[in-house]
Amino acid sequence: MLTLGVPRVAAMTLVLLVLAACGGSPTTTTNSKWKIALMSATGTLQDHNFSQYSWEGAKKGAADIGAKDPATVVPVDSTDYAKDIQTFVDSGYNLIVTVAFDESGATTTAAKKNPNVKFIGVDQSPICIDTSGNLDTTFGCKGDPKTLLPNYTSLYFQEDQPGYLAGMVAASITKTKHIAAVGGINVVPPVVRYIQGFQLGAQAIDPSVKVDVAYVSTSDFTKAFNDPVAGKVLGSQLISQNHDDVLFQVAGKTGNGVLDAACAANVYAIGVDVDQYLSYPNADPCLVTSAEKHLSNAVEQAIKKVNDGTIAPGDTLFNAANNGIGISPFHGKEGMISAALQAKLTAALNGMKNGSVTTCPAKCGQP
Amino acid sequence: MDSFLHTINGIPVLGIVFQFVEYFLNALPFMSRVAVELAVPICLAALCGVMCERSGVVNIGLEGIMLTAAFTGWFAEAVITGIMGPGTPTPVFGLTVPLVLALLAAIIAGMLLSLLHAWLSISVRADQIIAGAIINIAAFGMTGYLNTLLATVSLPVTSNFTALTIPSAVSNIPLVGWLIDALFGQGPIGILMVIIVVVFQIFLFRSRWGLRTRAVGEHPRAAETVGIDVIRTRYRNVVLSGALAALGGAYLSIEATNGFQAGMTQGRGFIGLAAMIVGRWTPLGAFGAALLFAASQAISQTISISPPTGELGTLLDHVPTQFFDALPYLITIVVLAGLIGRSIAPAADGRPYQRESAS
Amino acid sequence: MSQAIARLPRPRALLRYLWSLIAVPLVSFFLALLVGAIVIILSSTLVLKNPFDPTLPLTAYQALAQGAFGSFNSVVTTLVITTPLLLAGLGVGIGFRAGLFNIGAQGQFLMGAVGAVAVAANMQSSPPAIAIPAALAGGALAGAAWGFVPGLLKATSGAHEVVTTIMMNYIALASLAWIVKGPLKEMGSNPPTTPDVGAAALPILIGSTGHLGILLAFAAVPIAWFLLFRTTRGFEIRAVGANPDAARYAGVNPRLMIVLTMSIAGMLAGLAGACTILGISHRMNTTFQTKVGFDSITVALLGRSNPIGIMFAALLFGAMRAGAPPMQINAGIPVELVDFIQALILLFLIANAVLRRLLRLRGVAGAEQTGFQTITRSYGRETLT
Repeated sequence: MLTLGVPRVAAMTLVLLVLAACGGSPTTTTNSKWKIALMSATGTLQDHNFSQYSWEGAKKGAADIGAKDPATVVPVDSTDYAKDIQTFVDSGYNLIVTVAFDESGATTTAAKKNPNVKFIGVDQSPICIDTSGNLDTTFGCKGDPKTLLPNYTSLYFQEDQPGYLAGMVAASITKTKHIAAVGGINVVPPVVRYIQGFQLGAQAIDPSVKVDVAYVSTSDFTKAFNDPVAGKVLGSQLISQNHDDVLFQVAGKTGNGVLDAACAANVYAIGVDVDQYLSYPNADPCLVTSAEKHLSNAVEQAIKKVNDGTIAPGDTLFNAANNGIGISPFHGKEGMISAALQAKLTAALNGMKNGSVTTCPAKCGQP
Repeated sequence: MDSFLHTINGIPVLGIVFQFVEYFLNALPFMSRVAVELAVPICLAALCGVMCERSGVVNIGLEGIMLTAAFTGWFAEAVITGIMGPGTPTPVFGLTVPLVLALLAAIIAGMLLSLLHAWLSISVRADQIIAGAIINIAAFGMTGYLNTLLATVSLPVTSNFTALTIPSAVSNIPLVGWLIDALFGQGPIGILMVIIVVVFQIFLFRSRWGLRTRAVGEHPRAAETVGIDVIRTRYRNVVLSGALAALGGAYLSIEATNGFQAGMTQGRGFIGLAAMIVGRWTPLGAFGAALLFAASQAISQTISISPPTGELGTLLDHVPTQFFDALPYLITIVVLAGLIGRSIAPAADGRPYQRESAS
Repeated sequence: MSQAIARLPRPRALLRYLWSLIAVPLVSFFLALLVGAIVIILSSTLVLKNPFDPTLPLTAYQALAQGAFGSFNSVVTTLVITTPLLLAGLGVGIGFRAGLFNIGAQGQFLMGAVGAVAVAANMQSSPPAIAIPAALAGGALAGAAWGFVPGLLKATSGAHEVVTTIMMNYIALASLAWIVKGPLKEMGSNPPTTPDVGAAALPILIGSTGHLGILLAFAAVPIAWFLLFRTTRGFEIRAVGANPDAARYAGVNPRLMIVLTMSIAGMLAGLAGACTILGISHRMNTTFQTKVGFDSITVALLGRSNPIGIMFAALLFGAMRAGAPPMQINAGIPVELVDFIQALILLFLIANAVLRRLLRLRGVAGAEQTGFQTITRSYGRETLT
């Protein structure tokens, strides 16, 4: 056993070594000085959702400035973040987009370490650093990222605003006066903000509407965002037991199962992050609208601004005021939206722009 | 009645128990449906395990077979829809031609993977746990790889099987109505699972095939001497069992939901393996174990979406929500360790068989 | 016959002997790469409708190998990734030796990380010389506890460890989320995050990421080997795995051995978790998850439950995992291909009898069936009576 098992595997390791020795690094030519790379959230790039649309944005941005299509990598788990970013840097990429709220630590550290590389983070605000520009692990956040980390821009969205608009729509079209928001997990601030906005928006239309809030899991991230069957089952029970007839999903791919549940039960669904009428056509029959953050556009514009040299470092907020959020077109379901509701939606959007509408409670982003 | 309930619910400590029972009974009709939906894929995986291991072949590749079938089912449906159009779904079950062909494709994919497992385990006489592990890793890698590549390809919209609507006249029958609704208010694969459990249980213990299977799994040498072809019996069982796990996988991507996600089995194959052991390698036992697990999940889900009120609600507020996440797993351990105890596998489970003449 | 050997020049005999040993693994490895190459070409032309490009697999494998061994930094990365795989793989392998199929490395890893960060968070002001061993011990203990429970349940009630360890994995996940959001949460963090491990952070020894855990992992190999093959306890563990009845007659207490083995296995996986949090992540939020638990089972199987074999298997897996992201980045081949290739290697290895017949490899050593089946034989069998 000993004499046979060991050389077997040792030999294979050797072969890899030989391959490494005879390899030369592949060279590419582009007419832009930017080599763009994107690290998605753990799991998969094809989520019909968040990662995928940031990627679409990065591709468009790359095309706009004449750079090569962005290279991508999908980290296997959270311990990969730092390593994968380093791989990008080592391979000569100088504009790196990282796409997940929990990649902020690794991105901040990498930005400090590689001042000549530009970093764009999605959903990673607030950037929390100490006064010397290092990642602040005690969450004092005394340092100013604009001056200390001029090569790192974090794009973040006021998710409570599209959530608020979605809540208004939901509260207007419900017949049972019961609507629900299904979140993936309650420790992701953007998810919580969507739902808090949704609750306030529904209350603004009709305080008698009951808003059920359910989270798919409180501990398991893969179940929370990567298990459509769990979402389907949860959605079905909300419909049958709580008589909810509008379901708002904030759970990524798990949430696509929530949309399926709504369609199967002939009730309405509201998508999240992107226009899910386009991204998840299976739900088209029952999808009324989606609470959108204009992810793809934000990433594309950021890349263009990096190229122009006009990018602002630090936390960059996207909200109603700069048209960074919104709700998707109704795609043939315009008939459900009364003129009165349309007027209220427009008014609310204007109120958000001038700050007269509050879309999130005091502890915004915290369950 | 109400005042009676009010009185007994007010009793300290015991009152909480009564409140829980009341809450539980109120939620039962909804919960039972959820429990069966969650149990279907787990149970089908466990049945695959039972069929394999009863004939003496260990199969830990359930997860991989399910994942492959889930991918194949979804992908085949998309491709076939692209070729011949979506077709009109039938009013019951929402059957379309692409959907039925996709289910067949998923089953064939599962059986092919099982054939590989059978070949490795029976003919090559390789370690069966390694063979199973190979299937799991290969399936995870291959489906994930293809899924990532397909991100750039636009595929036609697919449809999925729809659940049977049980008429309210039936589901309102006192005492058993909710049970009928839960067991049969499912799509075709869900209903098929209930039928398979019963048929499989009867066949395993009452038919010639069952007798042979058990003989081959318990004492292959003796079985051979009375004229049973051990190798053939094992091949047949392992390949056939692939269809069961494949049904479980197809349930995920073309019945419960409508699409494939990388790694969407989420450990259900391994839970199925556990259900098989807790159910002591019998079809009914495996069904019971899967249902127990799924029911505990349904309870924690119910508590989270429709929390109880009153004293019970106040009490549960003090329990960390993560506890309810862990509840199904805790219950499984407690039931196994406390009630079922030692589960004894078929005696020849995992041992490759070599004909005496050949050795 | 002895004359014939004597007439051969010694180096040639040695070469022939070496070839007989490495022929099967080499052929398996190349066949796996070959099949992987076919998959790459087929998927590129059929799925993506790219023009036929026969050099694409070479580009991919080159990027893979470069990422694993191409530079000093990439070698360090390989070693860093190998570390937890090796530690957890040793744990699973020792379990296999005792006839225990421990699927629980995942949970033991997570609890090990939690234990380490819990100790570290409370020792911020201690000198590293005290904080590091204390935090590692905390991780090892927490992991051992997570292995002890299935062991105890099996020893007392006969509850099958396959079931209990799977369930303990999920319970670990829930416990981790509770601890990170509750007792260990750093004030003001959102998403909830634990404090930094501070003084207990493992020192970087080589390159920019090569932490102390690498040494620890490789030091564990001879220790595990010595424990298994040169101590009485190790003999008893193997005896229980090989034949519990015979072991019992020889005076070994199988129940004790089961609890002991599961605890050791848990301890090693817990150390893997501790090294990961103290050496790489430094703090934990609820997204702290890993694939190490399941990869380590494959590592133990590939290394045939032998500590030295496991070391090479972990290195192979570490190299492939280190090379996978550069492969995706530079050649556009999804990282999942690596899993598929790993499965193929295992496949060709265990089908080596067929391979040898097909390729007419005569006089080449194959896997002996007897030693190979310890694991499966004990899976279904009653260990305790």
